[in-house]
Amino acid sequence: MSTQTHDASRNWFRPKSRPTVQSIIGLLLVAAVLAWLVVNLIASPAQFMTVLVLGITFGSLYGLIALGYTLVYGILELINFAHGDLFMLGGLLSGSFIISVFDLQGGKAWYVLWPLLLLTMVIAATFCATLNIGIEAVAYRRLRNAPRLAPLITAVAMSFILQGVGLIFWGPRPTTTNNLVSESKVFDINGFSVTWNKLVVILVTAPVLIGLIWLVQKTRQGKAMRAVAQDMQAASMMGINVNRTISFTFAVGGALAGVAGILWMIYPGSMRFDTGFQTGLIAFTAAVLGGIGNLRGAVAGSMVIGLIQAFNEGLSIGSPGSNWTQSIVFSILILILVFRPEGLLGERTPEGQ
Amino acid sequence: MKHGRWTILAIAAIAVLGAVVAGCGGDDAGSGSAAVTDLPASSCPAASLKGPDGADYLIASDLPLQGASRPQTEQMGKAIEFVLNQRGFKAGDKKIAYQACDDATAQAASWDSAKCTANANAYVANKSLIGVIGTFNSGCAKLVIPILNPAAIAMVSPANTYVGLTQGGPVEAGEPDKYYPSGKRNYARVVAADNFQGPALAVFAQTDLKLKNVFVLNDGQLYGAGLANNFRDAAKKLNMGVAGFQKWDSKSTSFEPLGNTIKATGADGVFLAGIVDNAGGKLVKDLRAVLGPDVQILTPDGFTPIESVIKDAGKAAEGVYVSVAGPPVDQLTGKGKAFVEEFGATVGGADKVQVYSAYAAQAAEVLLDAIAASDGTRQSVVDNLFKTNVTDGIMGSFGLDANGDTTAGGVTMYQIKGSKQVTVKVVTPDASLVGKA
Repeated sequence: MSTQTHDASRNWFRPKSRPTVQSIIGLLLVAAVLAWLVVNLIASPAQFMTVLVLGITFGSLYGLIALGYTLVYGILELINFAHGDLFMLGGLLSGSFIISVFDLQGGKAWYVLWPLLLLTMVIAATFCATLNIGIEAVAYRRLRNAPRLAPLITAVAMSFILQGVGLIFWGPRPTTTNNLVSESKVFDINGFSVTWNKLVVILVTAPVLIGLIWLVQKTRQGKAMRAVAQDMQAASMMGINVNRTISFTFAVGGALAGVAGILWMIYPGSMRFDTGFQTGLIAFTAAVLGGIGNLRGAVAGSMVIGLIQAFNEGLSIGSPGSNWTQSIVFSILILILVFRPEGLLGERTPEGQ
Repeated sequence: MKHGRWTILAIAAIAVLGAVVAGCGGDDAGSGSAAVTDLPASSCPAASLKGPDGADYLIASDLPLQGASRPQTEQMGKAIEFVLNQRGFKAGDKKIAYQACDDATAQAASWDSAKCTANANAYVANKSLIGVIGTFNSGCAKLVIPILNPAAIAMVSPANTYVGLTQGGPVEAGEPDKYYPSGKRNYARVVAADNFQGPALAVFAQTDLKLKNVFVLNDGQLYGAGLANNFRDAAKKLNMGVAGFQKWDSKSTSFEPLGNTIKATGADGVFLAGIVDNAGGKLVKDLRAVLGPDVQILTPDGFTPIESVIKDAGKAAEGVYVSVAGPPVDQLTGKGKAFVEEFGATVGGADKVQVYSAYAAQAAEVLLDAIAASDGTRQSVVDNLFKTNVTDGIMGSFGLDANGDTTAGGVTMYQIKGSKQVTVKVVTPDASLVGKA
């Protein structure tokens, strides 16, 4: 499928040319990072592996959020800045259900815990999906043909509104879960251990991602999404209900944010009204890193960002440390936008290929 | 038609003016005194409290009433109110009104620098205001003191422990003189500074917990960074190892990676110099998850009230040490014991009284005594504040030196056990470790 359907003026991510000097510097940088990782792996393998699993856990969580950005960007070329805050509301809502309504903390039996956690996940996903459809209908739909800046500013405004809602209903203190899913070790090999709560995050994320890619690539609805992404007018002429397809896309993105929200309450287990803003920016960076609009790219980019964060904060030899995480992550955003705007996975393909 | 509209407008304007005038008049008649005007509600949400025959002077407390500190700061306000009630809202023959001001914002869930500055300007602008009890956070005091200083408003803090507010500090140059532009002091504190707390914690870690290698984390704020330095300096003098010295980022997704680097250093203890508002509870939880139960976690008074730590850290809070300068509330004698019992009855039991409530009450007593001895001007209150010498007060007997520091230096170590704050021991660090500037 062609990517030439978007005229040049709209492709503000696309570079004019890519000099090879930059590729060489880039390769050297990657080589240096790999060498640094190998040194750490040899020096203390258990620490390296533990941090690796932490990075994959962060990456899974960021991936679920990044997909929401990338789905919406793919179809509307709109960066939905309110998405991170939607994830926050999903997390806080599931936190309330976990703590107050179902009272799931303190090591409940599995036949109580898991069905109710699943129910909470459905509630959070439904809530976020509905809210996201509402946001699109109220804030973005009428601006679909407006100058690009208009929906972008609206999205930022929406982000602050959602933060305000989180602050009013849940207050300034973090909502924290303790001992929800067992924090005991699944296994422990010479100090390399993985706990159940982290494993659950990874185990839930994987099928959700596969399901999403199946949805977009194999189903009728997914075909409609890809068609609308490629050419809204042509899709409309072919009898595709454009508004409904876009609403569906927002619903899917919202549901993913809801799932990310409840997983965040399982691990790391602490959410505040401003958590979504920061996490959203990180996930957005991940989406850009992988190639915004590209589903697999969003997941790959999230894994890379999650691993960079974990390695930077958790490795002992020559790592800059947690004070530098934000600077590193957002430097990557700038570098990618300047030198490789199409992202890690090459072609920017809104069709989700 | 046009004529009619103007008439209506004029009538409306007169009605509004009338209401305003009547409102002011009504206020005067009600309080029996025109001297005290309230501070703006944007700084101080609740109206001023005063005795039955009104008030001539206003004092304010400046505490963060939102965020993790709230259970504690709210009780501190009640403690000040309790002292004023005992005295019939009078300092000597002067009738006093009291207003509780908030230096936190909901967005920050903690003290906020813009709010601290705005509050300080409101105090200066209010002519009836004669003294301030506060602040709670050293970073906020750093902003408030230089604004109150030229106006010679007496300020007594029940909780600031950053050294540099009153003497040469470890973090910034030009301390403490840069906080006192008039060249004369107006700030005092009834709690011992971190040149006591830091060394006391180091001594406790070495002699009682038998730690050999402690990792020092700080939250990057004035108080946290200063205290981390005080602790590290003392550890060096004690020949105790410092495994690492680093800032923690309160917005971090998880502190488990950080925990892994600490684990790799082989540290047998971690000291968290900072405040619980900066994701302190989450930090304790994540560190415990990685480091296991054998690595000791030490925290300073910034991790009070322990309820906030327990709420965020859950089971991981068990075994964490918390230090607070001064004797524990259940060991107070004389006037202090009476305060704990009587005030405790108003907050649901003597065991519910927080340490800093006793300090707040003590700060109120010190300020009210200085006001009682003054001629009613701001400068006179400041002059009398520095003559303070308390014998058998709520926090025992102590004086204030020329820097405005208390002469008492004991620091109590508590441990969180069974979700309760259990007193372990009182440590008074050796003078060689305290190091006066």
